[in-house]
Amino acid sequence: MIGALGLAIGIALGVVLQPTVPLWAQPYLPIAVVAALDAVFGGLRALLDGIFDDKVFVVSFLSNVVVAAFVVFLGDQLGVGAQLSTGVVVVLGVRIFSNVAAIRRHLFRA
Amino acid sequence: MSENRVPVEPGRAADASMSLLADLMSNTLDAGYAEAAARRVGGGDGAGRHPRSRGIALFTGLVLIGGLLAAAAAEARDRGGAANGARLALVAEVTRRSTAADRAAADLVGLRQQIAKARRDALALDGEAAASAVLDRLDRSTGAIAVTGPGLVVTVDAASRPSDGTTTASPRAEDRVLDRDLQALVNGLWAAGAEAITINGQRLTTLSAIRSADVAILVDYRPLLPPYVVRAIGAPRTLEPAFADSSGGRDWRLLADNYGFRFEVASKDDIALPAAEGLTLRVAHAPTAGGTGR
Repeated sequence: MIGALGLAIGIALGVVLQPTVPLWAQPYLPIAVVAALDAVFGGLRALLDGIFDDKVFVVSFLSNVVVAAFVVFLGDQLGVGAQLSTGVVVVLGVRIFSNVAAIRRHLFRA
Repeated sequence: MSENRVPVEPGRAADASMSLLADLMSNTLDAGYAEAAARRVGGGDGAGRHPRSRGIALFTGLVLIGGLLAAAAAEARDRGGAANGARLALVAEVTRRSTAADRAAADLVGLRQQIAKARRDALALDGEAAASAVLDRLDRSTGAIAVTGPGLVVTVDAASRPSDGTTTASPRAEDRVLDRDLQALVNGLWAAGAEAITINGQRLTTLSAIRSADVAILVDYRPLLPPYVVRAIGAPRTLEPAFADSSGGRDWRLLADNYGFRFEVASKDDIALPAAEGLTLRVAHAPTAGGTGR
């Protein structure tokens, strides 16, 4: 499966190369990670629902990360960075949970 | 009493105002997937991009995700290590500086010994033997140089009451060795003719202070814990009886006999006492012209 292979290769590259995250990007790394996880689980659920589309997946991942980081950056400029970041994480977390539940329903028929 | 009921438009769910939260909780799958599926069913996506490029895009996207997750994990692990590394570096720095300070103090003591010896030699050359002897005696009693010789070793401690089950560090002040007890002891030794005194290895100078601080006694602001071992160098045959006769010796005899304090006096043939650290020169004046400049 090209998808799992790509993910595995990406993780292996990250572990081996140990890329140092630039200082200006470090505050947005957690948000980017949560957004990426949301895209991954959304893609998995779509795959199990039978409506997976790779273009939608790639675009959703990139836009999720960029928009989440941008929202946090905007919040930092306005002084509500912590609150907006919490909000973003809450929403993405809800989506992740809901998609995982749907995946569980598919996998275990439970 | 009428019920408060908000009129609801027909065809509208009662919780329409909650649509944001409801939407958030239920529509969690990106709508793009459904739209893409509808488009595929409707008109076939054959006019779309070449499937190979889409496969490559998917692959690179997943590689990016994997890299992002791994980088974040490495970053999180690293941050903990960085803080610990900083702490360890600080601890190593503190140890290194303490060792350097100790070495500098030892060098200082050695240099003082050299100066004293050089001064003695120079005075001997000038024929000022008397002045040299005075200076040596002052050096010894002020703690400027190390001294070896015969003397007394006095070990004192508070009364231990094993039957009581309490430890020697009793909370009551009367049960501990107080600063005035040690002061009386030391004064008795000075009065008996001691030339140099240390308490638990801390050499006493003319400006030494003996103060109590809770369960410890501070000698020159260094905390010392019991038992206190007081070493004094002096003329062997006269020091012990003179000390026993002194007020300090008698006070401690009383403490030992009546309260069970530990008070042991032993004479030794060779005692080596270190020089005092931290002696600072405060006053100096040049000799007047033509005189010895006392």
